[in-house]
Amino acid sequence: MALLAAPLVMALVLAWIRLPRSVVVGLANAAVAIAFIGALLLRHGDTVVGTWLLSVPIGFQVDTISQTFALVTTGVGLLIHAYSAAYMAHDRDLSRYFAGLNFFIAAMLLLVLADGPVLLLIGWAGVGFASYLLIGFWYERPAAVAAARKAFLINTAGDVSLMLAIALMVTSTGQTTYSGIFAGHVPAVAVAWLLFFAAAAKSAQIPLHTWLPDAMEGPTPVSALIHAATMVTAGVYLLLRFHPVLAAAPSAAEGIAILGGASCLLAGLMAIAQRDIKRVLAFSTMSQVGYMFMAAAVGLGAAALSHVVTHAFFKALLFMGAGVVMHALGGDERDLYKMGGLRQKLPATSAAMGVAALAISGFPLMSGYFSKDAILESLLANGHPWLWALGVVTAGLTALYIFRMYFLAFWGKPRTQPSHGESWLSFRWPMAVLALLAIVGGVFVRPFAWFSLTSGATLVLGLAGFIIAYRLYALRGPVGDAWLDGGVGSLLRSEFGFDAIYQALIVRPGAAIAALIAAGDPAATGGLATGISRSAAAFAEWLRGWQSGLVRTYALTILVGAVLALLWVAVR
Amino acid sequence: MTPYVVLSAILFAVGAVGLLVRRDPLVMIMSIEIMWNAANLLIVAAARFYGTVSGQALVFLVITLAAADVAIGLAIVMHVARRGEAVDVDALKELKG
Amino acid sequence: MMMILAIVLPLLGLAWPRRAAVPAALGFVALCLAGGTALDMPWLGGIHFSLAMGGFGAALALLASLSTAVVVAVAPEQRRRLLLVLGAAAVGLFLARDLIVLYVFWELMLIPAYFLIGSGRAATQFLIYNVAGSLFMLLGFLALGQFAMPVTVPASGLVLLGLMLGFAAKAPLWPLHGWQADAYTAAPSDAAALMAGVQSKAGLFGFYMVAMPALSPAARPWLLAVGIIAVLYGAFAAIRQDQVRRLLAYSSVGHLGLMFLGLVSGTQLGLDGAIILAVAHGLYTVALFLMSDKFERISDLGGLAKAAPGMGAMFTFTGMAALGLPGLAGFPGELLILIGLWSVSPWLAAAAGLGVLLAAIYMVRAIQGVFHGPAREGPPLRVSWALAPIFLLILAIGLDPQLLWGVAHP
Repeated sequence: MALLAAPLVMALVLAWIRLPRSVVVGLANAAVAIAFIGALLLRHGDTVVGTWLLSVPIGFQVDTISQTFALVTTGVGLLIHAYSAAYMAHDRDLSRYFAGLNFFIAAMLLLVLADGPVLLLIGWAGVGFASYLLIGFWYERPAAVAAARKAFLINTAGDVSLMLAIALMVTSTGQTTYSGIFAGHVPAVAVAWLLFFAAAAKSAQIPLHTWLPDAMEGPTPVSALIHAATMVTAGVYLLLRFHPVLAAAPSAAEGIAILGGASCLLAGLMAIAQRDIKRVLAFSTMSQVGYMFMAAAVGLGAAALSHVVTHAFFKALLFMGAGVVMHALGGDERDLYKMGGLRQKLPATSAAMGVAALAISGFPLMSGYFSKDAILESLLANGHPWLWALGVVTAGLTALYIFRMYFLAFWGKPRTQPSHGESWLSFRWPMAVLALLAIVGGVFVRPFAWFSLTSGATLVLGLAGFIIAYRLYALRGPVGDAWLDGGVGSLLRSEFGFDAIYQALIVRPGAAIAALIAAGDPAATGGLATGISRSAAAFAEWLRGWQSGLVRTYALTILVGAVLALLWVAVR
Repeated sequence: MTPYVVLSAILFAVGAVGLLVRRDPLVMIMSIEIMWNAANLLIVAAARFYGTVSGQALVFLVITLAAADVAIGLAIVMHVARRGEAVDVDALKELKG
Repeated sequence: MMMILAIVLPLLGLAWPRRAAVPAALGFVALCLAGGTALDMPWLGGIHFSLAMGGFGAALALLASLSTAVVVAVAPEQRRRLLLVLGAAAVGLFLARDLIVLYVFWELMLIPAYFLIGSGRAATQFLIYNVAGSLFMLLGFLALGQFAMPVTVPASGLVLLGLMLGFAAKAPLWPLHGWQADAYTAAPSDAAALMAGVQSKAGLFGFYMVAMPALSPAARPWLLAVGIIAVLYGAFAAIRQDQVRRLLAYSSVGHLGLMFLGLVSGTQLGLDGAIILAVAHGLYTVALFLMSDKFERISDLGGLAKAAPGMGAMFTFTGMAALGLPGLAGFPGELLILIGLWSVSPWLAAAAGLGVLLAAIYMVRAIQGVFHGPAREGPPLRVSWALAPIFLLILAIGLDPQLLWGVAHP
């Protein structure tokens, strides 16, 4: 268990001590490897280490859910660390990068192993902070800075929601550990929705998803780790961990599942219209996490967890491949329209991406096939036909957008000549491992089923998507996007206008309020002192009027005063 | 005793009105004198009426004070007159403000 | 005895401004050794010269003592004398257990503060607010009839209003915060650090010791309203600020409102949260102001991370603590206050949560506005080693708030 602290230690080391580049890479990778071994060795059970504050303990809880997440985080994390060695080889700030990446892993581990929501929140915020650091890694680019800010702020909104959920749970049960809370009685509906907002912010689900596409400004390995394999699945973890609460609030759970399904479908639609290769993958992640949300919300934890695992495999692989492509085109080229024909120069990458694309589309016997169908079949079997339908349709969309991406990048005539190849060893072997896992990862899926009605449906739709993509893009290239030039296309390209809506409804009014208060404040409250001094001066000025300099007025005043004094004495 | 009180009151009122209404400082000083003496009259009458001597002693003090007051007042009037302008109390506003 | 030393030792620094940090640090050490002691001598009439080291006051006194040492170490020599007096008075204030002793230290803090702010318009404004407030406060003290602290006589109606005027002017609490933005901008950043971090807690402490113990239920809704308005008002105003120190000033208004909410919530959790947040706020505010020494307007800055990576890292670290990032000092207090508020009214807690989000907005804007963006050449900015204890405490309290507990609740 203590082995898991290695990445945290390493993060601090790398942040503060200057070391030669190869040492940095070696240490960072070693730390994650140690953590991975630690994750493998975890034994189920609870441990309490100390007290954080009052009755909140520093304790850890190991069960299937947490161990699975820990393994994925450290395992896939290790592969991405290795990949980063090549990808970031030319970067000046290697130390800062690996420190951030290690810190992320440490925070994620804390998140999944905590035995109570407070400690979870610390890990939760930690990964959000790491995300901010890493998305904004190239902080000299305004786009990256803005993206980091957006991600962090939406995440913070989620953090606040989680804090409120904790407040509610603590005040109604008086407990601060999961076991204590679940034994007590909480207002389930309120807690469920608050948890959903937190999860949606972290996992980029509707309505808090707008940060994810922008987050692609970060280095590609960051996108692979944080925004594909781990952090975005933290929301799923939250739903899984709190399944007793969700079970106690079926209406809320249903609502959450519907929103997950909406994310699934809408993201799939948005992915089809993207020109930026990483944005395709970002929306793809959002869509796949939608599957996980649908399952987790209605209590199908095993299926959701399985998809978390398989998704980590193929999505990380997709991002890695995208990274190689970008690297090959010499300078972070992300525009699909400028790619093409890359399978000649990048055969291994092309093969790996192909495998990943097949996996995510649910090609039979690959990991994605089993996990997606586990979710969909369970949804159908548990009485959620509409969710099932959403998922099935999206499966077809998945094939469409992913193969659109694949064909635009790797087939057809090369529209830009690649200047680099893929010969880096540390590009190849992590991708190879992931490709293998993407193929055979199906063995991890629970519940396991070889074939069902669902698989048939998804198979048919997936095939349809593949064929459409082939016809439109494989040989014709970007011309195939002509169908997007109409109204539908602009709706998709504008991502359904979410950003515009938020600008109008939240950002602008908020800014207006802030401007109003900031402008009015110096006058309103600073004016208090000026007001006091002015009124004092005005009073003195008035008083001055009595000193007219006229003797007769003074005489009259004395007389009147004397008379009044005498009268007063007489009356008393 | 009553006649003396009434006379004293009339004298005092005459003096007060004179002080307030007239603008010539000399006349104002004379009015003040009348007021002083009205008070003196009342004190002496009261002393005689109640049979105490202290009232008469007090009157001596008051006469002295009146004299001092007139002296200073006349000195001020003389200085103002030396400046060459007409002596009008309403015009002497240097103490304004 | 140690308490007296804690107050007097820093004053020795008046004679040696060049090495003033040493006696100040010794004062801090003395204070650490003073735990649990008390001093009570009858003085004049019903007034006792009464000091005690315990509870909320103990935590704040340690904060004051440490901050004084750090600030004096960083500040240029010509200001050290004034800072020492301010700091010593603050320590005395937090140790005071008699209303008149409190009042003496309270007013004592005004004089160095006035000169530190620069004796100009902003300083005069500060003076008017605070003197007016403390006059009413004194009237309130006298009306209470009891001089021993914590006060057990209920304060209600006009008396409470008078007391509040004093506490609210010092903290400052909305709506008497008007002097703060100008004062912290006009003052040099080391002075602002001590004022914002330490002096502000005097108002809170006064409220805790005097008005809170027997607060009438009728007054509570009004006070809660003031608190939540302060939180949101301060945060919204901070979002629009271009000058870094003004932003921090409005941020303080918001945070103090939150602490006040915790105190007034009537819950033990809210109270505990307010105590932790007060200490945390003191720490990170001192650090932020000291680091903002060379920062004037955000719009003139940007891209400094490349030239000053250490400063960028520590400013980000402290800024994150300020916005309440879990794992750092600002979080435990805020969480407890939110939980406490929830049992009063969920809407209040939600509004306070909005305040947290707004804090994130302006803090990230400040951090990124100063350090991120196209790189530009700047003067080499270094973070003084004197700040190390503060950074360590921010981390320690965030990860193990129980530490603070041993101090505040022995």
